[in-house]
Amino acid sequence: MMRTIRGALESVMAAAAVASVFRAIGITRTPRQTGGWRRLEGPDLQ
Amino acid sequence: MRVAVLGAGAVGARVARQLLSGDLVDQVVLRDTDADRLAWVSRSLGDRLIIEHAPFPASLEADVVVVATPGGTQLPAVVDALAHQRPVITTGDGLAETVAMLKLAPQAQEAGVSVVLGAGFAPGLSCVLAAHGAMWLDHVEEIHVAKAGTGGPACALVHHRALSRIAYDWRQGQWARNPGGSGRSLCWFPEPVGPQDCYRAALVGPVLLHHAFPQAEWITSRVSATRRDRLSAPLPMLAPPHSEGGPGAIRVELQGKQNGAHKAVVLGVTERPAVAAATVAAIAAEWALTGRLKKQGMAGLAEMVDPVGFLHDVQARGLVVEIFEGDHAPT
Repeated sequence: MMRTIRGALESVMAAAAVASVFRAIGITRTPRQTGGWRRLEGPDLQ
Repeated sequence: MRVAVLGAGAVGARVARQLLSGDLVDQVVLRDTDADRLAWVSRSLGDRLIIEHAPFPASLEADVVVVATPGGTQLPAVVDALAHQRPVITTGDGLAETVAMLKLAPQAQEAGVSVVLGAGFAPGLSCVLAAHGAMWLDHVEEIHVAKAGTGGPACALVHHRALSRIAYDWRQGQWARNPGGSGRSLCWFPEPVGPQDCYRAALVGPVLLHHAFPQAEWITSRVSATRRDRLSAPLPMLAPPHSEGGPGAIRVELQGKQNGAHKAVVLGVTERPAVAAATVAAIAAEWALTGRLKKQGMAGLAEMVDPVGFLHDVQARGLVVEIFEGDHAPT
């Protein structure tokens, strides 16, 4: 039983470590927004 | 000028209020089948409002008819208005009903009246944003619309059902059928709504946008939904829908070519959906009264209005139209 729990925990830790490496080199599962919204005005409405 | 508003729900009551807040309309006839609702609405709208407790399709005298009734009841109202040769503004977003209405397009053309379909938040304002964004492109290749939030109970019910029905996207010259609730896409709406998971659903947006942009190769429409929304979509609504939704938003992304180079335009609006839908329907009704609609016959707002003038009117009534600027605009 303890061995199973330890195995599960090690798997989770390994997955988290791999994910953190991917994040560190800029590969993320969720795309990030790299800009912003601004109000449409002036020349945008001509 | 006299305007008939059918339906005194979250959208219809606000349409009446907005029309009465200006000088263009002399009288608004507000009709609903719920006497209590009519009495409640009439308390705050003054003596230029006439309330009628009557079935929706019954004929009435008006210069323009705004149909803001629940899904499934809009088609008979449009048929009746066409029979009396009256311009019509509909706010419905039901796919099957709007497609059935489009089959009446020859009759509208013959009658020489304008029938604006889906003059709400999405479709409606989303179609105007698409038309506006298209002005910045030489060639529109893709249009992707996403909506977050719902308006009144009728809107919530349409949203609930749409997630369990077949969704239609326009893809490379044909309609692609996919199950509602599929195709997760993370869409970034203007704040405070922000990023939301959005899914395919049986939405009418692609139908109206394909009508307006037949050259576009890919047209999609998605709604935000939670896991519970998707899981419970095939069932009847587990809880009664809310009387008024919270903050909502729309996001319209266009991809195309400008001077031979690829360009993306992303526009959005954040507002309570019923408030935004009522604003759009009221402006459309005023444009119909003043002869500013671009054509006779039946179409969505993208084909019916000049987007610049319409967006000016929309912003003048407090809605804020925003544009996304950045190196990368993920869907």
